[in-house]
Amino acid sequence: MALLEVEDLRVAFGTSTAVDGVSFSVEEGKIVGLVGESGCGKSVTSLAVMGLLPKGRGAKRGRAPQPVQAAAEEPAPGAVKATAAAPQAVPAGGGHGRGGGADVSGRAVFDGTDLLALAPAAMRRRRGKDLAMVFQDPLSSLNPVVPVGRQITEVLERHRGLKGAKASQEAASLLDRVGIPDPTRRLKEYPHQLSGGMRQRVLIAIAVACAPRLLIADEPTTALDVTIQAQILELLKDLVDHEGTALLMITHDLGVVAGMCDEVNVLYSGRVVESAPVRELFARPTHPYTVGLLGSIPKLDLPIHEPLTPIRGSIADVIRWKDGCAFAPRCDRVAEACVAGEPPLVGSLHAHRCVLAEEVA
Amino acid sequence: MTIARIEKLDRLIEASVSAREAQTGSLLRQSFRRLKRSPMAVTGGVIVGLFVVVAVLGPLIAPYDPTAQTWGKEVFLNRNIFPGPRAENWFGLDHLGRDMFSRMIVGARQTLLVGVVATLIGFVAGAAIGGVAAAAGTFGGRWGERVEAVIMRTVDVALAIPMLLLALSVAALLGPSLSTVMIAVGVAQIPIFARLLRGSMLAQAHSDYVLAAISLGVPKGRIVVSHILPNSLGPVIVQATLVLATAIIEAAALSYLGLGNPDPGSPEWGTMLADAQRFLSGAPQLAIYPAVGIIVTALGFTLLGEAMRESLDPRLRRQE
Repeated sequence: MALLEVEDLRVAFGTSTAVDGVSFSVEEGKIVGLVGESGCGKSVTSLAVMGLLPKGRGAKRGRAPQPVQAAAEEPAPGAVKATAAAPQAVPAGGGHGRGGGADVSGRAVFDGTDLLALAPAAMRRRRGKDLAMVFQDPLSSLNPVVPVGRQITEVLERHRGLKGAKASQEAASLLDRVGIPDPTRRLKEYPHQLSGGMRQRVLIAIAVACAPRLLIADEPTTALDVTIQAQILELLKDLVDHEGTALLMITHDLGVVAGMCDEVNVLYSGRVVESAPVRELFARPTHPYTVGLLGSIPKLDLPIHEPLTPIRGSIADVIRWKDGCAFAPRCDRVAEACVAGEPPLVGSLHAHRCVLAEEVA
Repeated sequence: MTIARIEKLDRLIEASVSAREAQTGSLLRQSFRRLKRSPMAVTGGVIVGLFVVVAVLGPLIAPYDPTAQTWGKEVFLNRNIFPGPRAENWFGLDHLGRDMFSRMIVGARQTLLVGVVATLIGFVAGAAIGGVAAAAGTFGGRWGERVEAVIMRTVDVALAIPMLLLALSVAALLGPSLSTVMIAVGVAQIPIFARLLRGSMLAQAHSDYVLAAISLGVPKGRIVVSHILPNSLGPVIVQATLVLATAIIEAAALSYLGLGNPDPGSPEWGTMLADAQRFLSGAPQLAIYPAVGIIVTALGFTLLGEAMRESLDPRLRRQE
């Protein structure tokens, strides 16, 4: 049994559905990727698993299979979607209060308990201890007026009961473990005094402070430059290898996926359109969307002036789409069968959601 | 390498070391460092510092007893003229023959006391109200939102009442005294502080680090107290400096209207202004001294507050 089993997860904001029946699983010691362009629902999925979405008011669910933030974030048509996606916006409201809440249904079974059915207090005890999250923007995810040391010890106090000197000692060793030199001095510094890479290391230190069994990394390298990205990914991979932590990696960067993940789930418009082990996915991409994503990545071995192959249209084209495959309005191979009804997810090891799969492959 | 070159190198190293030092230290220390470079802050700081020193030392540095009447030897009252500035009385005498310079010096203490206490009342009560409202509205669920709505609408109503009128009604309820002025002016400032802190906290409540703290299982109360509040206090503290200036003016206004200290002997700038009104045509200097005192002090606090606002601005902080 996998450590985390997400089954038929649905998240709706008012009448628009951001996540529409997503299922995947994460095994202990494995890295699983959730890939997709901006607004496909990957961040919302992770927030739902962590129980960080604002509570909905039970508003009736609409039919539109459209993420709320898609329209605002729509990249220019023809842009290189897979690599140039804008930083993913978290739905306004973060984890609490005010404004439109989210209606979450489905199951997220973590080690035998359904996280979505857990009482808020019980969920709070697990957050940070059993499952933790690394966010995208390390600067804004750290409290600017609190020294980083105190932000680490706060978690240690809460979940491991460490206090005072013991807590700071542990915090220093955590910083050391994530590769920050001179950790005792760094503990007293404020986030703005650290470099971007160091901030992300601090965030990772906080996330792994209580040795969580599942780590969710929501685009952990988007805000960093390329050399630092590689270091951070190396660090994450190292943690997984040594601690046996399961890692759910949310990213729009297929390069990251290829280098890091064991399994990949490609999300499109709130649904998993393809799910496979990483080698299999890159070797035999089946869904046209995955093919499109791979085709839009610049490759070193292509001639210099060879144009990239963009995916036609944008995710906004799907807003008015009612029946059939959500990718149909942007798909080059669209056929009668595509618009007849929503294609089911077929296959077990290498699952996909395309009725034309045989032809594509 | 020539000596001149080595010296130049030394200077360069020194400069880079001090630049590095400028980067370190707590946020407050950094803000303070920036503050020292702003001419506005220095001017305001000097005025406020002088005012505080005078207020604290008060009777010790006053050349005369501010309540001692030297009246009787000379008959000025009939001609409605009072001695102006002269060697033995720098600011002249008032209508009862008291030394104006001593009265100004000793009066500074009451003015400062009223300003600080009134601001503290407004700050503490307003921050408590605004903080509770923001915390309830953000984390208290549906009931919390109702609580917040009730609190904030009440604050809005209070905000709609002209400040002086509000202060006057409070003063009328309590009867004239020094504490009346403090409470009245303080109460009148509560709505501003409440609104400001609530707004500032709401802005912080939606920030990433709060979401990150929630994702780590930090309890809501703790998030409010140790994460949201410290980030929200900046603008409120600056507002307090600005309100201090307003409070001094308002306290003077209330004293002028006769709601201040009922003891006519005790020097207070507002009361002195009120007393001087009767002799405005013959001895305008009696009104000018306290008026200038009030204006300059208020200006000092305003300058300091403005400079603090700029130095605490996180956008400027990032650039450094």
